[in-house]
Amino acid sequence: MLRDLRFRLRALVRRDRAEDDLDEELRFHLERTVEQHVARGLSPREARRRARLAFGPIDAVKDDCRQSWGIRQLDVLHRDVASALRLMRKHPALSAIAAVSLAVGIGLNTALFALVDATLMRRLPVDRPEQLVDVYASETDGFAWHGSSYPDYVDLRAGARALAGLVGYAPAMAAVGSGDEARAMSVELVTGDYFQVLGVPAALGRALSPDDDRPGAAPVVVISAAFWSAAFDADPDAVGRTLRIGARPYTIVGVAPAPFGGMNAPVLTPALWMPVAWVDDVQPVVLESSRRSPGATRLERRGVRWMFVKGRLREGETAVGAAADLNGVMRALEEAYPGSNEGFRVTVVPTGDVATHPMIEGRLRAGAVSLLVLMGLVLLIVCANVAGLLLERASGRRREMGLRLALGATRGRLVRQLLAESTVLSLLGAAGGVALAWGLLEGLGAIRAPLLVPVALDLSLNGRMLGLSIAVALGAGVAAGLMPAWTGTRSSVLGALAGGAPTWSIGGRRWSPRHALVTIQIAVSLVLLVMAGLLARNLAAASRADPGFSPEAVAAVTVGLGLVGYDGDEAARFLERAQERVRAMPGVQAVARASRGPLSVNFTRVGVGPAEWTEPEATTVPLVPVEMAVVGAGYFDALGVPVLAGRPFDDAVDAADSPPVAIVNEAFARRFWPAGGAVGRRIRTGMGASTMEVVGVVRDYRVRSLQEPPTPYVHFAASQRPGFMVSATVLLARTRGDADALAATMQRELRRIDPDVVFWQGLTLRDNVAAQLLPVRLLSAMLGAAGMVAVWLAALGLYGVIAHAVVRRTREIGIRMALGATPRDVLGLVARQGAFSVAVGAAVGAALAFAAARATAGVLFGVDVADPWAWGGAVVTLAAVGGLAHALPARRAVRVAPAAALRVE
Amino acid sequence: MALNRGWPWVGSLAFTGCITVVENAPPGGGGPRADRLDLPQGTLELLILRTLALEPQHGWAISERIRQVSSDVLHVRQGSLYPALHRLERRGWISASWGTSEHNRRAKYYALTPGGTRQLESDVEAWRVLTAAVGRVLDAG
Repeated sequence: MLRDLRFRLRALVRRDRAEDDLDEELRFHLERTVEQHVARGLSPREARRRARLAFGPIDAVKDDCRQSWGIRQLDVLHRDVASALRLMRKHPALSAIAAVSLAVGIGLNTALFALVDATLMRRLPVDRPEQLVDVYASETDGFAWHGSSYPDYVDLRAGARALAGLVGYAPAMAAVGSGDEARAMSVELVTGDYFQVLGVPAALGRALSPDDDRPGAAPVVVISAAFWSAAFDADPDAVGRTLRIGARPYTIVGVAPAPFGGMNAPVLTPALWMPVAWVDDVQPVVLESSRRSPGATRLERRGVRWMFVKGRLREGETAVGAAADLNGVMRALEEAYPGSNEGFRVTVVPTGDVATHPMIEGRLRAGAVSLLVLMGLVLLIVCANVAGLLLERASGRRREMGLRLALGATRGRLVRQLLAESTVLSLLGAAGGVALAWGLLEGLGAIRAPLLVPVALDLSLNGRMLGLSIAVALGAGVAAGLMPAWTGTRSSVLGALAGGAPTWSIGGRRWSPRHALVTIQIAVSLVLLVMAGLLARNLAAASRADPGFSPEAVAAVTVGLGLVGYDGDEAARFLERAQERVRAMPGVQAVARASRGPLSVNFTRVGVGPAEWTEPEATTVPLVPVEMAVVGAGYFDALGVPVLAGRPFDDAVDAADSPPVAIVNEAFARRFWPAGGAVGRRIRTGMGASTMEVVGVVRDYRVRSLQEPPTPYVHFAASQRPGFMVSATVLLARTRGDADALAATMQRELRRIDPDVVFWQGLTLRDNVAAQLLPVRLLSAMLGAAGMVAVWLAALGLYGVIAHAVVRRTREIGIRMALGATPRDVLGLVARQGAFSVAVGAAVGAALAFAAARATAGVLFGVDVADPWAWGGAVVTLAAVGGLAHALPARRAVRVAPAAALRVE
Repeated sequence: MALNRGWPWVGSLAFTGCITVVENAPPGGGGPRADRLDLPQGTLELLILRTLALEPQHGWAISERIRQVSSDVLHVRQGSLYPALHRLERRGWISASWGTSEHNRRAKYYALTPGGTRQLESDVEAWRVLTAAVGRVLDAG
């Protein structure tokens, strides 16, 4: 079989060579025969004659030989493709329109599919991933998706009979390497049985084992294949070397297999895995928790739920069974540790069901599905339109087809040739589509998202994507080519040769399938245009939205001091020196430190309540979770947020041993003291027993998202809470010059103070704002592109219908003009051709667009569903395009010379 | 059903005029009086394989040899010979290579491959079984 294929391919690819060989072989045979005859005494001439006679018709023999090569089918295909290419050269405009339409349709679909594939359709590269379940701690009357504390995890693991294993893991950032090579890297803290339960063997060396996770075990790590290549040039000797992480050297015991990127890939792909026993090395901060629990570290405190937990079901067990099991354990824990575990149960979700996080998965999937449907619609329109174009062309070739049928060509042969044409078109479209998709994905990948770590979203076009787009293209080609091919070859031989009326003309005068097609196209393009318009308006509104601070020209450099072993006091000294140096830089107007910047991905909340609430309120009314930040002096100056009442923080006044103070925003003041007079009041928090005095009120500004309504926000003084300035401290600096340049200078200067210090991605506040707008911007761009394509295609379809009608009625128009019709009358005649389709399409489209806009009102911020600009823009675009589609055929109709028209056909 | 494996034509009974059988060939030559007789398809292939089992040969020599060995009874028509050769080559039963002929000219030589040898053996066996069976039927009177 394989040999046969190879033989055929060789015959096909090295065709000239094969032909030459055949010639020479047959010539040799003839000459030998001639020689034999001559040897027997015949004259050379007679010998040649006899030899040829005996041989038979040489061309027929050659043809039989070629048939033996098994490439006749391929030969025919070759001819079909060649003729298709010839035809395309003859109609370059039409072919280009069709191919470009297909390219856009295929490109948009491929890019979108690659995006969905990279985010929602990946499976973990572990052993039998279908057995894995995610285990979340759930408050029976509250948030259902907590992680687990380490003590809880240990107890759950011991008590879960339905599970073959239970692993805990937590993404973290760690300073890896030393000196200039130190980088903040994503690492994963994992329990000792992690690799065994997941079924991921080491590619080199050994994986982590439960022994590595015991107190007193030697510090070891397993590194990722990517990090192994990047940092060690894939040197096998890397195993056994030591790697400095934070302040401690770790021994590398193994390398993970290449496809394995931890449990949070692709968003957080760790460079290495380390046992949870070392959690305090990389995450030294004890998180504040509203749940009290004894112990000093994360390994001891039951109330700090910082780990993700995954279990592997035993054969035949289900997630429901596992949940029942684990909840038995949880009830026992609730009894034993009410302080930390009261009201906590577990929720068990099969890992395969949730690619991201249960909180957002549903919305993501719904969004992805609706986008895919939308893009599929666009592709459908593309196909319909290419079909229309081919139909138009097929009608021009009726005579040719009739002639060939008359000369004995089979219908299958003609259909195949026409299909070859549309397939060549669609493959060209696929090539363009893949290029377009590649460009789109490159553009997407090049966007600098202001996340603390680079996101390694694998947006490359893999073989699956290429296969998909080629399959889509071929499907589209066949779908678009079949109808024209079938109807185009249905002509009766006589009718076609006589050049009479096409027997395949579709439908009646007014409402043909092509009219219906145009109507649907207009409706869909109106929907897309309106949605794109609304999103664009949303984008404009969001860009114009006042974040409450001025993001222009503010550098925001985030530094991880805890990662390199700083404690609170050391961090405070470092930050003091750093601020001094930055303040001295030219152009810098204000400098401040903060535990988080606005619109960053760092969210911290704390329970807060007014301190003057007395019994019974103080016990019955729980603390309200409020967004919080710990900020230094000058913070509000750097952001450009005005202090409306009271005073800003002052490092000297608000010293560590001074009475604790807080500054709140207007929304906070309104929430707790609607009557006013917030300054001077006291609040209590979940962070300690002592109450704090509110010393200032600042204007509201956006903290989590640009779209949020004014939200209560509380600031604490960095000088009083140095412990918060350790994990990821942002240094904000307002400059008269360029923020990007300042950010780079700041990083250099901080390295000069301590060469070991590590940075998160160095950014500016502008980048934070841009990242906020990114999803809307992307969606708007995609819908806009789809909308423009749809409108363009609708215009083509409309043009086709009208032009076709004008041609068909040329004789009628001529007669009318001969009888005295004015050009105005003729124009009216033409306009009526498309007006009905356009009107119905626009009405249906408007209804659909309104429904779609209502359905997505949740993401539209600051834009009315009936926004006049979006609707007006869509309608005007559609009207202009519709008018253009009418104008060209109309001009032709008006110029019809009556005498010429009568001679038509 | 060993027959069917070696002889695909047995099932379809497809016949084709690939060999001219010259009956009562006149001794003095002067052109064969050709009464054409159709032989089962596959016979020519069998003859070619058998001929090549002796030694690698070019097409002309193969047809000559078949003619001589059959005492001038079987004349292979060139129009059938070369397509058959190419077909056999495609199936991998014979291989082709360019060599120098006995008259010092370039000629395409065909040689039996191991697969061809096996094929020849099973085809000969099948042919024997078939002809014996046909003979018994004819002789049964």
